[in-house]
Amino acid sequence: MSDSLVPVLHGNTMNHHGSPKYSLIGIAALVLVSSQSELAGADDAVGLFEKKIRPVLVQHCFKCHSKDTAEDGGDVRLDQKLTDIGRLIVSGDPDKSLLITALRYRNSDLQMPPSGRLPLEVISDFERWVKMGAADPRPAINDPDEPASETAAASIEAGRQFWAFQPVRKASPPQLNDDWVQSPIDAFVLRKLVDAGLRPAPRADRRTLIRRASFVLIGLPPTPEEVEDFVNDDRSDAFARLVDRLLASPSYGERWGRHWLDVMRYGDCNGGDESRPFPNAWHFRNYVIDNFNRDVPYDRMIAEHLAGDLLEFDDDAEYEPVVGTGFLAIGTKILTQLDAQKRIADLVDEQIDAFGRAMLGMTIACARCHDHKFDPIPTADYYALAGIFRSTTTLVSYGKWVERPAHTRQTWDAARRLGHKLPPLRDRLKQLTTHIEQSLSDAKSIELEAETFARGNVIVDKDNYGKGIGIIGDAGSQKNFAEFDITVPESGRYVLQLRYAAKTARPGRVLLGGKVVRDPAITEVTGDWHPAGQRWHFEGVHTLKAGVNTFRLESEPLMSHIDKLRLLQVDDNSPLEKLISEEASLTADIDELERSITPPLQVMAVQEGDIADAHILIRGNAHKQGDKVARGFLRVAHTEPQTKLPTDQSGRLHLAEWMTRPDHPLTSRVMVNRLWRWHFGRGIVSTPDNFGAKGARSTHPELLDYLARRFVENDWSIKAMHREIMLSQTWQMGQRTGAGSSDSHEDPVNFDPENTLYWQASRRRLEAEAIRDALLLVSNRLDTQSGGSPLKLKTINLSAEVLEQQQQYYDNSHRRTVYLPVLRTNVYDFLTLLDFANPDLPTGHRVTTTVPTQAMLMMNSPLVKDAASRVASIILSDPSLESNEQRLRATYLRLYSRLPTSNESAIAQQFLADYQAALESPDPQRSWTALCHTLLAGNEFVYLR
Amino acid sequence: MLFQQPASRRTMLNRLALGFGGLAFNALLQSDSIGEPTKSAGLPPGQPHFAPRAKNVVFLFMQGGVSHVDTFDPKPELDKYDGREPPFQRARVKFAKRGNLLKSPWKFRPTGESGLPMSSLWQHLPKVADELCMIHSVCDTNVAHGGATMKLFTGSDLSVRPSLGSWISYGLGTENADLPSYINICPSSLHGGVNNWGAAFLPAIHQGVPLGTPGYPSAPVSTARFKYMNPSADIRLERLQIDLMQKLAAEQSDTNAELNARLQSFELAFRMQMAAPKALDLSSESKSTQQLYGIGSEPTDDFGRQCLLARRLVERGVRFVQVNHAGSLKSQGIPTNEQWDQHSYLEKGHAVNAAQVDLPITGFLQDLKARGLLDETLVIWAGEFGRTPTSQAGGGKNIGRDHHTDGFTIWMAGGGVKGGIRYGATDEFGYYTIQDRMTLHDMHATILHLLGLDHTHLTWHYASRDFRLTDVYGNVAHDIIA
Repeated sequence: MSDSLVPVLHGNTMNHHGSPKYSLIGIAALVLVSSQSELAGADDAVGLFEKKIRPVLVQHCFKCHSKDTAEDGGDVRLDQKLTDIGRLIVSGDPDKSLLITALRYRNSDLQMPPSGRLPLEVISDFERWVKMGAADPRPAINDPDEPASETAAASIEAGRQFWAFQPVRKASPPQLNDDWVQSPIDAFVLRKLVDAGLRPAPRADRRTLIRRASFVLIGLPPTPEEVEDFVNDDRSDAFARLVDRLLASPSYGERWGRHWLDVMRYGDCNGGDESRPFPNAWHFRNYVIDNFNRDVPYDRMIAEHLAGDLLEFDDDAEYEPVVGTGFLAIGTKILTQLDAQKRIADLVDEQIDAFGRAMLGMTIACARCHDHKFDPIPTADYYALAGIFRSTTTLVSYGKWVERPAHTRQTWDAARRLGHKLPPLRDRLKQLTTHIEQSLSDAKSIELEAETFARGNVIVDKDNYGKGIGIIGDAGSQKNFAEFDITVPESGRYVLQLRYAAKTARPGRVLLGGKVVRDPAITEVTGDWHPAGQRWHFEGVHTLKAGVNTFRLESEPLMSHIDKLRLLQVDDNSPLEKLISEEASLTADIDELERSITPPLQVMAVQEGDIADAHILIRGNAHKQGDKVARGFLRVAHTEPQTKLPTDQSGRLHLAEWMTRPDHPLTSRVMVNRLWRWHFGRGIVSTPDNFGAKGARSTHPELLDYLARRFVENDWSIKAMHREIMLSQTWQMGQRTGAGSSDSHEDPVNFDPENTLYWQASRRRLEAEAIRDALLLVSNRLDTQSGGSPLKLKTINLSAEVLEQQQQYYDNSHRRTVYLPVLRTNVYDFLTLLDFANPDLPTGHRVTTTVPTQAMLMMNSPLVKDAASRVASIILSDPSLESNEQRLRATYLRLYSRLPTSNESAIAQQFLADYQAALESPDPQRSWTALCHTLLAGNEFVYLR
Repeated sequence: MLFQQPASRRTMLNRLALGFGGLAFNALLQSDSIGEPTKSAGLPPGQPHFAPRAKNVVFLFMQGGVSHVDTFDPKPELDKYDGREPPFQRARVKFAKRGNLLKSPWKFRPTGESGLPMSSLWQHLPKVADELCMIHSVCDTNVAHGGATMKLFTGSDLSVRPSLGSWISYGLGTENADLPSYINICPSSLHGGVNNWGAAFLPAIHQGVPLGTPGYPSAPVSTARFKYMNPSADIRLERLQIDLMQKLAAEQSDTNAELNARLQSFELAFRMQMAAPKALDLSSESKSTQQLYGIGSEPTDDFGRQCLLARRLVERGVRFVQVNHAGSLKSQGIPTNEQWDQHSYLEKGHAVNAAQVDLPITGFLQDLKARGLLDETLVIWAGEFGRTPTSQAGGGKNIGRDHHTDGFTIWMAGGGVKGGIRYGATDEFGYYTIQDRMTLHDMHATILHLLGLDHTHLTWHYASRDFRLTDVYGNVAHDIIA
């Protein structure tokens, strides 16, 4: 009897290890003493079942494994006859019965009941019962599964009735006989205002308009000169000209590219569990900025995000389209997920989630574990998309992501112009060296092991390359070198050969007697670091003197794994003479050519992977596969039956084609709503990332559809949409005097406090970037250089010291904020405190919070304090300003784009006097700094009106 | 006229009624303080769902993973089967090659009146044994530091979610408007870093405020300060500036609620700047109190200071304080980056670590109790996982243990939990939890419950659905509640 417990404690894999046998009977016996005697009368199997098994099943298992609850229990039912279906019970063999495995609690994947292990004597009863044949008097029942697919199809059909999935309507603007209406937008807006008994507020004054237009389009305030120019421009199209000027500025892309980067959840490091730097993510950022400046059509833009690696390089584009797929690559990943199945499932989930929110305004990822609770997205649709992304490679292995070469226009042109010249030269060189080497096969040779170097800082490895093989290699990132003193019997010319292995190129150079004789050298890639990859390589012909010659090999930062060196003497009268001189000149030519071709960028990207449809993962669990689903798109968002995706392509290209169809109900609507949001501070649908049932409803559905159609008609041009919106009276509205001052229902504040009808311009706080850039601009410090990566983060070791350096870097940088790296686990606190977008998730609407820590930031951040002190210096050192009155006017123009009122001027001058009095000795610089600091911290500097 | 959008508090209430996300929320945050500047600032005290057992939380984080079978969960079978192969199915996912069963180098003895077993690593802690509620059945976390730390503090190792302290700050608010409601003392920037005390999509005011620069290793607490607070500011001059701001704003006769709230926030910041230095000044504590925490002597000075700060902050109404034992052991000649992470040198490393925290934690609990604070303060002691009952890193003196996630020990004290009890159990070898499983969701649900919050009702609407700390899981462990 007692041996029945041994397998319980051994588990069913115990005996495969061949370890010294030992027994845990001791423990088992202790526990089992009582159960022995109780079992005496239960010899027959059914009796055992009734007495010892059934009560346990009822008490511990039925909660999840009976007729009504089996869905929770993975469809395993224990309230019917237990059979060998799925090896639940293998009659007579407890070790093979999964029910017993689960009860034993020795397998991390299968432990039941979940609340804890049952007493050992109970487990022993089950084992005994199985051993005895698992007699179970209960009937076997089989409920036919309900076909779930039909209900899903029905709900999709019903789901299409929801407004967001309806075709974009052709909406004509209401005919209103009203002078205020200057554009179709105005007609849609005025219709609703008039219906509510309201009139729009009057147009904003010119100073307000240029400040608003400047911040909205380029993220910077206008200079005092720009303000005066615009105020004095009496041409009828002055505002349209202003808009055009701003749209043409490179600063435009830096502003609107950043909006799009919010949606792209851009980050320069992984964030998540382990925040490895993404040293090449910044190319994607610059690419996005460039796309906006070039007004790349939106359909092209998202096609490149989804499938840029499969598209041709457009003649007028700056970046190869593969850069666009950075969108799929830069998401936050859990890098140390060791469970490969879960890793891929989670990765794909992040991509689907980002894609859905960013481009469809849909929370598709909800359908990973169950049919979407609110939107008509069945789990099958999720896995149809998952099949596309699973057929795409993003991570090469644990912790390593795909990077691919990508040309810019300039490197592409050079590569195309010159690149074709290289292969024939290289072929010829190869021929030559082979020929020379073959001709020298009988030559006198000197061969030595690389590890016999005389001087050097390289490492010698004799342990990892097989018996008798020793190599030298780099000792880490450094200027690696090894010197060899080689004695040759007679002077003459010698071919140098190196035998080495290199999985990636680690070029270095060869020096002879202190002079560089071959650069680059050791350039080849051999396929492997190990002996299998070792080859002899030609490294030039060198003239040596009799006696000791010193060769020096250099390579930095790393070095190939070098095994041996060999010198082959060239006979002075050799017919090879000509070949050798040709080799030298050919090597020089190739070198020069290679130097004039700039290598392409390395960018984060995706590539086609192993193409396969995906299985549904039951409840999202990466280890529980359900049915296979054909790859495809969201069924609710199109009406035609889908064609099957090809078996040799992931389907991303087809996904891109589907997304950019002019009649797609979501693509254009979602984007014009985003654009509207960034112009007005609030979307027509106030949840720009969610157009589903739980999202907000459109306040102006006809307007939204009108804009969506215009967008497509104008070739998806974003700049055209800016003009359409900004030239409307709606956008140029000012604020309403006296609103909110009465309780009357007439007062719009009382029935439309959120201003959803657009009865005035809404106040809104500037984004963190605009505040920082404005601080730099008004203190004459903004560095407007574009592009590049201002910081290369090399380590994930974020020590207090590194973080402190980084903080100082942020505080001292004068570049526009969009160029500051977004370290997901350590975003510049000036930005996060001012509601920077969460870089882990697409963000179309930044929420504005008002908390004391922001005030503390404005009071104490070096950035604000420096700006104040510099503005004070600029004002005080201006000889044309002769009085505090004049200085105040200049300060207000610089900071607020307007002049102070006489009251404001008086208050400010009183402050200067009080502050002076409070100081120990008079110090105008200090009191003016304090004044400027207060004005910069004040509401008017950071709020748009 | 500059600002032409007057909006009264009534307007603001209209906005609230309409429920316009963050704006309304923050208007609410500010609304109590308008016109009543001394009563309340940033956060109003929230409302628990039912009578709370605890008001505050102090989380003692033992980074790296403490070995449960060497500290609080004795397994005599390990002595018996030392060096034998373990009787378990191979884990699907494991961190490193697993060795054989390894007995504990330390002897256990019963402590306190309750007889809680503790190993000889603990020389002082037995004095407060009867306050401790040992939970031996924590399980179901991630096998790597990053995922496990995020799961411990946010409940998720899948994506970035609000942290436990942020949820509590959101649920209960603060009782001291002049200090942040969630303070993290010298946190580590490793393994999720700010994600572990971040607010994610909750309003930013609920995020943990680090005291000192988060780093690796983190800053010594003796020099730690709150960022952007300037304790040496000249109060008279700053007052003049804030008055100027108010006067210029009044000139606009602008009644926009958001703009007014922003003006008010400067007033609050001004007061916080005055209050914080006093809270952080340990020199006002008596010599004997400092000694109780091991301050002034090694190896306990740094952790002792952290614990004493935690008491001072809790005393002042800070809702959630995290204390971190999270540094490197390299200076001790032990190759450990994460404090308790003894893949090797188990004996030496755990001894060094225990010696640093044993006295400070004991003194901290004694001090809380003496001041009547223990009843209302829930103290949680936990690492991100336990360590395997099997060995790693060869043999001899440098032998260690790997990460272990299937059953490990944490403890709680005060704040309405039963003292001197053991809850849950692992099997004979300390491997799998076999009784009263406590997943991290269960732990979170229980912590919220002790604070009077129903974890199924503490929600935040984001990205089209209601999020919870416990996602769709979590059971309150009622058996540990006194």
